[in-house]
Amino acid sequence: MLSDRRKHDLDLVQRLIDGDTEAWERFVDEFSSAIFGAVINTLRRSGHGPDDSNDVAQDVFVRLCKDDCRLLKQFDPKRAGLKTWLGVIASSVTIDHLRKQKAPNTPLDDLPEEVGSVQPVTPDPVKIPKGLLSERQAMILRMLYDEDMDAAEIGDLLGIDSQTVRSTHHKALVKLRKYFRKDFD
Amino acid sequence: MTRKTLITRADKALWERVREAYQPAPAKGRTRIPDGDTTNLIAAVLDGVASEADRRALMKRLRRDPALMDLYLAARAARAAAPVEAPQSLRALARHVYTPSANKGRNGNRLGGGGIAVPRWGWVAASMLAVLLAAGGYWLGQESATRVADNGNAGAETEIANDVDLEDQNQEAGSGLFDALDIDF
Repeated sequence: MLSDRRKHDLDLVQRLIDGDTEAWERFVDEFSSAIFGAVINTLRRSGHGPDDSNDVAQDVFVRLCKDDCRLLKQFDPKRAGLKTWLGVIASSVTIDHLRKQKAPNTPLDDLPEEVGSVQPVTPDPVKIPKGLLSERQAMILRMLYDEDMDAAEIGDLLGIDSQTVRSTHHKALVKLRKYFRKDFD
Repeated sequence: MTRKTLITRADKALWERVREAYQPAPAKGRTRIPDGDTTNLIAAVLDGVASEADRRALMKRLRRDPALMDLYLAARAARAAAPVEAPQSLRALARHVYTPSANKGRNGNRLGGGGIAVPRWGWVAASMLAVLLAAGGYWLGQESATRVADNGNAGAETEIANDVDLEDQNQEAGSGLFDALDIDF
């Protein structure tokens, strides 16, 4: 049995697939903030500013109605809410955009003079020896620190016990502390 | 009760120093929008309405596919983030994206920004008419070519007949003259 919200989503999507222009306007009013928010958030998460957010969000709308609404037809209201589903699509399109993006080219005249100076002013990046942290350790640290997930959630995702998450975190930190202490001694 | 993982400020500072080195490289060579089933599954898990079997199935896929894990984490963060109001410029652009040439519905393809709706049978009738006109044109062309050829042949025959008649007449006239002069060759 579908809830009222799901019925509303289903009806709206069906009208969009049928080519109803008024339904599309309603869709834009109702969901453009959710799409835009997901785009901005994914850009920020990857260390990018909001410069491209309008373009990427527009690309999301284009993809939704491309090829006779092929993407919209994949939405299953019995399984998820339209807003969440659109959030997944928007995040996906943003990651796609970031993947395709090449390093920006800046005209030489636009660069500040210091860039052309003889002595570089950029600080040395931290050198991490390969294999200092295992792939799983790095992933657990990313989830704990960058994604604000707790041990139980991570355990669920990775299919391991939450206690294992905690001990992996601890071991990773011991390794990092040991490495940096040696570096400064 | 789940035990919270203890994270100190020093731990966070330590992670900040190395986090750049442990950011996952974006996957290359394939589009990030997963298939319809996976997208719906991610949305259902994020909404907390997925069945235990579905949830386990997704976790299994996430563990196998780092790019999918990245998308899941991005969508999860986007869902948890505070809403961001979409700018009017985006809404205006998004309204125009739903163009009709890209969208076929029950009303058929819409032309000129949604103003004129051409029903599907209209396209079929137009195509049939075009084929008939082409066939008619071909037949008329063939007919007139045959007629030109016939006329040409008839003209040539008349010319030849005229030539023969004149020659005969000349010969007859000539022989009459010789007869009158009584010259014997």
